[in-house]
Amino acid sequence: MAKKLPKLGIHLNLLKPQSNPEKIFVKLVKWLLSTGRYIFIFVEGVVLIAFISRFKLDADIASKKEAIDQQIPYIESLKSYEVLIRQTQLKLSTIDSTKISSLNYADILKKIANQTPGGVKIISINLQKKDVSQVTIQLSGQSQNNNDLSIFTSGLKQDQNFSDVNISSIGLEKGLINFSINASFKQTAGEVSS
Amino acid sequence: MKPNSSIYSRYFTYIKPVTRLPIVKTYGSTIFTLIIIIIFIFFAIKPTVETILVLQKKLTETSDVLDKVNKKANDLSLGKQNFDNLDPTIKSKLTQAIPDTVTLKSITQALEQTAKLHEASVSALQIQPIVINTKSENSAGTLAEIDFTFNIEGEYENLIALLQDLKSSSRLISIDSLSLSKLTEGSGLIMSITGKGYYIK
Repeated sequence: MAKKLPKLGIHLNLLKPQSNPEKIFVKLVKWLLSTGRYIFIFVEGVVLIAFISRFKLDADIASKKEAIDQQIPYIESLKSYEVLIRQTQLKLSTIDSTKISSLNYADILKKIANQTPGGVKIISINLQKKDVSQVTIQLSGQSQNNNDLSIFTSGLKQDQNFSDVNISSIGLEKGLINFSINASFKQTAGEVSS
Repeated sequence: MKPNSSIYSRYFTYIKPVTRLPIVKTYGSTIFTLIIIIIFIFFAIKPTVETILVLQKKLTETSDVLDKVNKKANDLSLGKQNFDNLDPTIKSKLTQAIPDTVTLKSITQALEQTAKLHEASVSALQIQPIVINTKSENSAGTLAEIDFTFNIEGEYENLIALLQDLKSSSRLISIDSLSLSKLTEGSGLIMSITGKGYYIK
């Protein structure tokens, strides 16, 4: 039995006329029926998918718009309530922030009074709110002697609420010491809320 | 006799058709395919894909709007329910604390009554000029302040009690500065308070 020889992979079309080239129109038709076919099918496929998805997207957008249009009259009917609610929220937040930031001036005056010895007389006192918890104090007074004034200033300095305590002016008049003190007072969180 | 073509042949040259060029013969169909693909990409696929993308973006935006509208409707519904359930006395207190109009009367009343309660005499009450604008019905409004200066005379203990009472006044009052000094006559003190009240503009 004869051995089967392997096939050669050469495809030679000897019938194709080499001397007489095909016309462009024929070439075009052949291209359209081979490579062009796949390109056209792909493009048509893409266009068809887009066409169908456009229908779907348009329908989705229309349904969403319809849902929005249905909600708008309901929201508009509650407009007066919205204004009332917003005003109430604004009032509540203002009351809250004002209460938090309000300083207890009576407590500050009491603390100054507690540090004042018997020989010191306060003539005037100014409290100016600096920020949420801080007050600048300017006070002027009279002291019978140097020792009382020293006790007063050291008492203020020892109190943790007071800071930057300094005597801005001092003078002697009719045997009494006239003085002015500048200081800062910081209220702690617990004191502010009370 | 020579034919005319051979006589004038030196004046002519043969131009080979482009389609017969070897390069065109070999790669012509490939180049044509590429050109067609490019044309389709630019004139058919690109506009189609762009349209789809635009529609998808529009759909996302509409979905967001719908979500927000639904959320707003739910929030308003819940807000209305909560507002209706709010105790009328709380509503009244809120309106007293921060009224919807300037209502200077309530500030002066609050200050005068507190002074009267603690046996202090009012020596001056000055309210800073305020500009009153027409209020829009459909807006929540903004917070406005009424600045005032309040001078009272009285005993130290009474003035301290007055200060404590102002904190719990029916009209919300905030004190910015305070000065206390001795009266030239008598044993009393004069206290000057600079503060502000609030209203919804």
